[in-house]
Amino acid sequence: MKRPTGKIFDYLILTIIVSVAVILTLFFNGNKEFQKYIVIGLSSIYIVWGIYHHKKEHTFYPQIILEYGLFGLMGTLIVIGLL
Amino acid sequence: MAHSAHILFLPHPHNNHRAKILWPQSMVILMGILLMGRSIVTLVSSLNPGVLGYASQINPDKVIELTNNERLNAGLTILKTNDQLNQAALAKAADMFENNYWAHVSPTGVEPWYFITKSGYEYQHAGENLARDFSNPSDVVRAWMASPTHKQNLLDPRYKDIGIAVMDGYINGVETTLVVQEFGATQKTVARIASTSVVNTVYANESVSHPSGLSPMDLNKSWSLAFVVLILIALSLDWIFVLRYNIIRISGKTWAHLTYFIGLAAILLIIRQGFIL
Repeated sequence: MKRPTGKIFDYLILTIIVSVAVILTLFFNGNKEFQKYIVIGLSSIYIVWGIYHHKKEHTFYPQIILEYGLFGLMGTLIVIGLL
Repeated sequence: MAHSAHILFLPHPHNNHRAKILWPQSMVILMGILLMGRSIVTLVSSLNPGVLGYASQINPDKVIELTNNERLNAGLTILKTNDQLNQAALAKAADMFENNYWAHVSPTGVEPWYFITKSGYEYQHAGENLARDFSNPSDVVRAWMASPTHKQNLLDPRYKDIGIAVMDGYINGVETTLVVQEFGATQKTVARIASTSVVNTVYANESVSHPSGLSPMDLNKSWSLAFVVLILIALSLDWIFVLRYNIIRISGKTWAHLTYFIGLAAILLIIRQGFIL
């Protein structure tokens, strides 16, 4: 049986990463170049998180990586277009 | 119709227990629609700037007109365009680009009054408002009016003349449109009033609402937010159904996607259009 604490820890890490990105965006409001890096960084880390988490859970399949990749790309496109 | 919506938004045996809108193929289509919408907004704004604002087309005369409208509404006299103050505003904008700063006082200590005096304008009272990264004149004036310190400058009854400069360039490597607004009154126009100079040095970055008018930035922002909301709804429904019916499938973690898109929604709401100083 899997330990749920590991799962919770992974989600906690992801929540912290997303929160830090939001705070940084707020802090650097007006610096559009830096905000671009924040969003690209967040999306990249999100994809890496997906790979790490699914490898850890032994559910690492190409279609899952494609899913994270497309969600990351979609998110990046949505925000970058405004910067 | 209801069945199609069900397949599109809810997990079902017919969509392999995953809302079709969250399938990779659908994500590619959504990205295409997103980019297409943005292209239409850009095309319309560049072909018909009267319909949508355009960053490089902030008309200085329009800024003056809107400023004077605000003064008339407040029962004040209108300001006259002054060539020397126009020159001073241009020199100030050029100096900010040349010396890479965004402030009333340059890193070497040069104050706005230097540019006004250099232009030959003998001021008794003077003031300066700055704005950057706005796409249309209405938003600039609205942002100044939303800030008490800038509003005070804009509606100061002592001022008689105005000069405006709008200039494109780079500050810290970022492409920027600067709007410099110089106010002034000469000794002739305000005789017998104590000589003081008024400078607006308070960094005012209050959030500004845009109650009317269409700008490409506003449209793109709404368009982007609509996509994020659509994905958040699909992911939330997916999460609820998976939990409720205990669905087991091979896919990414819905909770992780939700966290990521909630973060993006927050970032979208945070990003501001322009700044005033």
